[in-house]
Formats: sequence, structure tokens, C-alpha cells
Amino acid sequence: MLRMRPAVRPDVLVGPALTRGPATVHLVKDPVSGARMEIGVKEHFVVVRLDGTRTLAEIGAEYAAAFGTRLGPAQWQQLLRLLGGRQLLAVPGRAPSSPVGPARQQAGDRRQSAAERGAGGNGRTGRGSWLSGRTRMVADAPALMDRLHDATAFARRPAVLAPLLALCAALLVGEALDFGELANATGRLFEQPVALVAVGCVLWLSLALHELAHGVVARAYGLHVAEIALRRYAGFMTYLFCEVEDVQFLGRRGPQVAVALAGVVANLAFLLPFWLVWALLPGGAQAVPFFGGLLLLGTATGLANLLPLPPLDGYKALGYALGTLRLATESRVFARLALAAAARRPEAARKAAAYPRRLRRVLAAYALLCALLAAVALAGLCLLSRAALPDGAAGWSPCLPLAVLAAALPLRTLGLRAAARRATRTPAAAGPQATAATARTAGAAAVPVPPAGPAAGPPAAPPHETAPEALMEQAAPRPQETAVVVEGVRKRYGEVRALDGVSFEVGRGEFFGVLGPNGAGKTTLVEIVEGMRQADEGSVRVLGENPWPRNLTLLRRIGVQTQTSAFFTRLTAAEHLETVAALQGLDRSAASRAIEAVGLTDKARSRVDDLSGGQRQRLALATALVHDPELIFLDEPTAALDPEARRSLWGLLRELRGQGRTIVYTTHYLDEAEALCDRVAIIAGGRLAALDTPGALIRSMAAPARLLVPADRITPDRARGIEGVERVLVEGGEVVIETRAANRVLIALSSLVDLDAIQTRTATLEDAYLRLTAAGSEHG
Amino acid sequence: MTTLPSSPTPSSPPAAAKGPRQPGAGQPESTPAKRPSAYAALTRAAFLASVRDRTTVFFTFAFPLVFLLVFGLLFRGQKVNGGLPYINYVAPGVLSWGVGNAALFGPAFALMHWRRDDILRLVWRTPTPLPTVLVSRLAVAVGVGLCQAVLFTAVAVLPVFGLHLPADWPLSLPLLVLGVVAFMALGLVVGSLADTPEAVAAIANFVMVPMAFLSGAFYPADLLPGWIRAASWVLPLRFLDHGLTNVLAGRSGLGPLALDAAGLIGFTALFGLIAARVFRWSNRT
Repeated sequence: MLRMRPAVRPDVLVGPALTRGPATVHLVKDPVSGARMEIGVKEHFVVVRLDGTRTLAEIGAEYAAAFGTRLGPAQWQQLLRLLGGRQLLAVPGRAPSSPVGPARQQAGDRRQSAAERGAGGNGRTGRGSWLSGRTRMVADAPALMDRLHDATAFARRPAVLAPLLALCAALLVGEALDFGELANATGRLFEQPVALVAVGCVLWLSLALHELAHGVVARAYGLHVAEIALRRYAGFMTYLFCEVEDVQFLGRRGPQVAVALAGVVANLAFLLPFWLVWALLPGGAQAVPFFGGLLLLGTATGLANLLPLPPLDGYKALGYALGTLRLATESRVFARLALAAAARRPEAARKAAAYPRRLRRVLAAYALLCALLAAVALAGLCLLSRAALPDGAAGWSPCLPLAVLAAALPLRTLGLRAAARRATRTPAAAGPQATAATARTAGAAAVPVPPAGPAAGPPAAPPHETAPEALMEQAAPRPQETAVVVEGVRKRYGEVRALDGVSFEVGRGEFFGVLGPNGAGKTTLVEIVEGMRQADEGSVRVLGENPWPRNLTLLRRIGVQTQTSAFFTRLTAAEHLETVAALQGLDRSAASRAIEAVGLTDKARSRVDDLSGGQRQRLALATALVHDPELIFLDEPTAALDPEARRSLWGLLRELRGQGRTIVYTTHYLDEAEALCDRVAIIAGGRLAALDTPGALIRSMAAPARLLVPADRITPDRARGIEGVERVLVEGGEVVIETRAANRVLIALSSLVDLDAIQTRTATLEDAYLRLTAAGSEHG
Repeated sequence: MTTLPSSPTPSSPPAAAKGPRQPGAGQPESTPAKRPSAYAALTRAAFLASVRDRTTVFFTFAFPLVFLLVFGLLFRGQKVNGGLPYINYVAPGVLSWGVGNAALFGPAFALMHWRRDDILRLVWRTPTPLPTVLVSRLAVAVGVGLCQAVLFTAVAVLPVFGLHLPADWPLSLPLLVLGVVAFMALGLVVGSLADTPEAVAAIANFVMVPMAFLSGAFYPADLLPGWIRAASWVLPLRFLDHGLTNVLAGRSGLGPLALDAAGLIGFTALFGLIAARVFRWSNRT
């Protein structure tokens, strides 16, 4: 193996050293898939030497010289597997950028025009609704940047840039000197709604220039500008952004900082002409509020971007300048460690000592800066409240900032908790317990990390790397034979025993029926199994897990068909399913998949209220199928359907079962249970009255067959005289003879009646059911 | 700069590939196209459900206008003995009543329906926490409230009614938002208690109508008997009405306004606590 000369693909980007917490890391990015990962110094040492000219043995020798340890075969293998698994190694005979897999195509298509992209049918997913998502403002950002790059060539000279920057500085100084007048004008601006709107429009233009400036400077340094777009968030926040890729792969930090600060400079430069007008304006001019307000508000928005808080430009610039990743988070971690160390916790002190000295200073300084900013903000609030509160209440002014703090802390705690929940949810889907079904939808961890555009500095969603070994483990499904195990479950509501010691198992891939009269405890049983209620006694395991209390990992794997009214009001079928998909944390394709699976595609645009009974049942089924569950609970899915709709739903249910899903099915339609179910549990009075295949149940009942003879052919007395007859009834013009010896009775009858006139009814599940439930209710 | 309508993106990364998000570090400028968040989807659902209910939309906006029309024309050109024209009492009063009414009824009906139709159970089974559902509903309620305010104010400043907007009108915005939040919290209490639409309407009206009169929404509070005026401070509408009246009369100090806001926040907390206590996932127990 050591004679191999593997090479990392030449187009793979490897960044300079950055610090993330105490560690030094290098970013590696696959420009084709857009995936990024962080590697340590030692891995970096090897990766930059994997150029196809050196053998592994040679690199190993260099490595040993540099780090004093040798790389064993296992380590080589692990490293190569990691690189190979991410398709970072050059494959001889294949063009380096040949698209492999959808993610690569996605990146490969980046430079296609928007129109072509629009043609890609699936392209809409993930773009969000009009309330949230992003709208591309520039059809082809890279092309626009190329044009702007050419057009601004004249300005990229020190002779232009230096005076421009000097003028911007002069603007700031001038405004500071003029502040009183500017503030006065701004105050008056708010009394002139029209002028206020005009200022807003002009500032919007300034914001657009801000983003373009990021892009142009990035382009000047050879970076790729992916997109300039308007991001809508949560319905009421919108902002422009410019997505520049790979800022952190620029070798020098100066250009990185320049890219981050270009926007603010553009804001200030944009204000220069207005400053000139303001300076020339006579004191009493009508336009004073407009220009004064524009200057002050424009400068304020520009400078606010320089605050070193994420996600603002100032934070990015600071991060680039210091060569740190995730400065805010790391600084918080460090501050916590430092405080713990100050409280003489030896472990924290040890951890804090692991940080290099310079980094310790940087992180501590940033933490102090943040604290200072918070203090300034609170003090400002305090002063403001003192000025604003009525005289009598002025003494309360220090309380207001405290109240804000008191309100902010629980909010932050809640936010952190929500984030933690989100975080636990994500790995849960790809966790080792994920079986084939989840792997099918989610693609598990094999999907590359989405490109986190480095324009924003430290990535928001840090690449979540999984070691290759973990990937291997996830591929192997864990065998699990039983889907549901219920043992001795009891549940009482007050005096009512809803469930009284029920035990059964449902196998994987089984179609399991739960029959019982209304009020027999079916619903309670299902609710206990899905974890909505806790059993008083007994144990429940579903897919190997305990469903109580609310087990999200488990809930992701089971689907529960809801009532047919459980739809979001006044939405269309597709909108309802999209909402459910979003609740499940899935994108719209999950909704369209589900709607297709139940055959409702042509009704996707109908309002849920306009659907027929059968269509509503199908939609309810689709609601349960959105997240592609392995185990499905269906509650009377064919209730209130006409026979045709019922049959067509049966076909759908059989299909679901054919896909290997386990189905637990409550119903009181016995023909349905007989036709569909592998096994049937009959519940009556909170107890399990019987559990077997439908056929075996009918046989074990030894329910009598019924022979129907027209009443004019035989009298009931005569029929009772035949040997083997158990019971004789007259129903609707026919004499009904019940017998367990149908053949013998038929022979005897043939001498009395023409056999063609006799109808034979063999026992059905219904007979078995009626007997069992009658017996059950006597117990209960 | 060319602008284009929303153009589609390559398919979003599946949920599994999404790393945990850092709280507070939204990093909106860099994150790639993501699946719509549950929050956004719910807001969209609530929004669509609201605007598609044309009758409710109509009356949400028309009802306050009718009151404005009646009271505005009735007291046209008159002044209260204290000095302010009637319209300066009627407009903010009716506006705060209309905003509060909509913010109470909408969420109350929605919560009742969601529980009755088992949508709450549907949410329970998904990883989306309930607060996300509620906050999305709140976003719609705030939007409705602001639209009401804009429309209402646009009519009230017509020369017929003669309301004048002072320079510091933006101060009314935070007050309106806080009012919507407080009344939505009250709506959640009502929606948790009531099991049928009739019950929601009955309880909500029982709460809102007396409150409207006692808080001075339909009648200048300055003319109320002293003891009622004193007692009216236990009503959330009083704080909203008081704050809005002061802002629109241009006599707002930030201090009294902050006290009104604090009152509304207090009511939000109170109703929020009660709602949390009486909340039920399902009508079946």
C-alpha cells in the first residue's frame, strides 16, 4: 500500500490555518459538491502532499520527521477512506468535476442561468414559501460580477481608493461635528411621512450597493459570488445578502477583511454626494430633514454593520482578521472555562491551559468586548428610561434594564433548549438505530454537508463530520423481529378499566388488526403504544424503544393516521401535506411523495373541505405517510366510505404492506380484517379476547354453519327433527338452520327439499367476533 | 440591478445533513437554501387559513370602521371638557378594541379547532415544539393587527373624522404589538376552555364587550366615573387604549407609555401562565 501515489483532486480547496477553540484547523472544500470539512494540522500536512508524485512511504517519512510519530497502516487506511468517501481523491480516467450524485449536480449547475434552473422540475423545493425563503435578485450573479468587475476596473487603483476612503473618513468626522443638527433634522423627518418613505427607498438602494460591493471586492480577489438574493425570514424580516464563496480559502487575511468591510465602505461612499448637498443646503431649506435624516440613518445602518456581533460584517471582519472560526461560540466556551478555572476547578483550568496564549487573549478580549457592549446597551437603556419616565418614577429607572435582563435570560434559555432539541432531532434520524426505511428517505449521513458560504465568516451550521467508521456502521440495518411488544398493559380512567392486562406482539412487516366494539379500549391501546398515554401497569416496546414519555426518535419512525378532520383548515391537500412535512422537518418533496403514494395528485390543489370521504381518508393516510414511517397505525380508515372507495383503499393498504411496513389496524369492519390482516386481536371489555389469524379464529370458534331454506319448503319443527341441527330460526321468510355438521344435515334435507333452493352460509369472522365480544363484555 | 421574481433553487439538503444550529448565530447571509422551517410553514398555513376566510377578514376590518363611522359622525367636531376632540378618544378606543378583538377571537377559534380536530395531536407527534405553533399564530395575529391599524388610521385621518397624526406616531407600533400579544394570550385561555365554536364566541364576547365599555374604548375614559376609571386598570384593554390615546393625542411621554407597555406585558405573562395551566392536547382525556 505504501507504494501507492494517490492524489487529492486538484480542484479541491485547502485553506490556511485557522483556530477553532484551542485547535488549529484547515478548511477543505470540494468545489463540486460544495461540501466543506475541517481537518487538523496533521491531516493537512498529509493532504497537501497527496499530489500523485509522492508515494505514501515518502509522505510517511516526511510526516515522521515533522511530528515525530509514524503513520501506521490503519491510520493511512482511515485517512484514505475518509478522503475517498468524500470523493476528494482523484480517480484516474475521470474528469475531476464529473458530477456524481444529485448534490454534485446541484453545484455543477451553479453557473447555469436562472431560466434553465427554473426548468428543473424539482427545483422549487427548499426555496421556501413567499413568507420565508430567498428570492434571487440578480439573475446570474457571477455574470453580473464579471461585468461590474470590468466596469469598476478604473476604481481598483490606490489613486482612486485612497481618496475615497479618506472622504468616507471625512464624512464620519464631519457628521460627528454636525451631530446636533443632523439629529434635529432626523427628528423632524419623522413628522414627514413622505420624506421618510423616500429616505427608506434611498437607503434600500444603499443596501443593494452594500451587497454588490461585497461581491465586486470578492470578485476582484478571484472569489466566486454565488448569489445575491433577498432573504425572507418568518414572514416579516427581509434582508439582502451576497453569498461569496470560499473567503476563508484566500491565503492572506487582508483581502478577507476587505471583502467583509467592502459593504460598509460602499454605504459611506454612497452618502458622499448627499453630504455635499447637505453641506451646501441653506439652513431653512425644506429638504433639510430629508438630507439630514438620510445622512444620519444611512451612516447608522452602515456603522451598525461594524458591530462585532454575529452575523454582522464587523464580526466577520474580526474573525477573518484573527483567523478564527466561530469566534463568538469559542469565546463563550473559553469564558466559561476561564470562570470555572477562576473558581478553582482543576479540570477547567487544565482545559483552559490548552489554549495558546495569544488565543486566550483574543477570546478573553472578545468576551469582554461583548460584556462591555451589553453593559453599554443596558446603561443606555437605563439613561433612556430615566429621561423618559415621569419624575415620580425616575427612581425606578435602573429597574428597567434589570427587567429586560430578567426577561432576556429565560428567553435565551428557552432558545438554547429549542436549539438543543433541534440538534438532538437531527442525529436521531441518522442514528445507528435508523433502519432501512429512514435511511431511504434521509440518505443518512452520506450526503455532503451543505455549502456554508463563508461570506458570513464562521459557518452557521458547522460541518458536522462523521468518522468513516460511523458511516460503515450506519449502513448495516439492525435486525429487529418484533415491531410492537405489549405486556400486561392496564389502564384505568377513574373506575373504568379501559385496558385490563393486554399482551401481544406484532411482528415486523405484519398487517395486524385490532378489532373490538366501540369503547373496548382500542383507541386507548393505540395511544399507549404511540406514547401519548402512559400505561398504569405493564410494559410497551415499539421498534425496540419505550414510547413513554414522548419519544421523538420513535415518533419519527411511526405514522398515525388521523381523523379525517385533522387537516389544517382552509388549505389545499398539497398545502396541508407541505405544512405537515415542515412540522416533521422535511421539505416539500416529502409532501408530494406522500400525495402521490395515496393517488391524490390530481386533487392536490383542492381544498381539504372540498374532498370526498374517500379522498379525505386518503389524505389522512398521506398525512401519516409524509415522513415515510416503518410502522403505521390506522384507525378505521374506511369508516363512512362507499364500497367502491373502500375496495380501492384496501388496494392502497396492501401496497403499503407490500413495501415492508408494519401496519396496526383498528376497525370494526370484520370483512375488512378478514381480507387484509395477517393476524387479528379481538379486544373486548379491555381484555384480549382472542389473537390469531382470521382463518384460525373462525375455525377455533367452530361457529355453526347456517343453512337457509325458503320457509314454504320446510317447517321449523320438521327442521328441528333432523339430526345434527342445533338451532332453528325463522328470518325474513327463510328457515335458518344452524349446524356444525353441515354435510350430514344437507343430505338429510335433500330428501325433503330441492337442494338448489338451499343457501349455505359458512361461519365468518363476524360470528367469531360476536361470540368473543359477547363473552368479553360479560367478563368486563 | 436586475430583479427577478423568485427563482427555484437546487433541491435542499435533507434534514439529516443539517448540522445543529448555533443559537443566536443566524448567519442568514451565508446559509444555503434550506427546507422551509416549521415556523414558516405554520405561519403560512395560519395566514392562508385567515385570508381564505373571507367573511371573517371582512368583518375583522369592517367592524371597527363601522364603529368609527357611528361614533365619529355622532360626536363630529365636539370636544370633551378636558380639551381633546372626541375623535381623539374614539379612534384609539375603537382601534384598540378592534385589534384586541381580532387578536382574541382568531387564536381562540384556531386553538379550539386544532384541539377538536386533533391537529394538536398531529403536532404532538412531530418534532416541532408547540411554542413554534403558537408563535407562528402570533405572527399572523400581529400582521392582522397592524393591517387593521393602518386601514383604520387611513380612514380616521380623512377630513370627515379629522384625526391628526402626531410626529411620534411610530410609538404606537410597539404598543399595538404588545396589545396583540396580550389579547392573543387571552385568546389562548379562551380557546383552551371552550370546546365548541359557540362556546368560544360566548366566552370571548362575555370578556370583550364589557371590557370595551369599561376601558373607555367606546366612550372617553376621562368621562367615566372615578371609581370605574380606577377599577378599569385591571383590564388589559385599558392599557392599550390609554397608550394609544396618548400617542395619537401627541401627549405621550415615553415614561407613561412604558408603564402601559409594562401593563400589557404583565397581562401577557398572566394570561400566558393561565393558558399554560388550562392547555389540553385533546378534548378526550
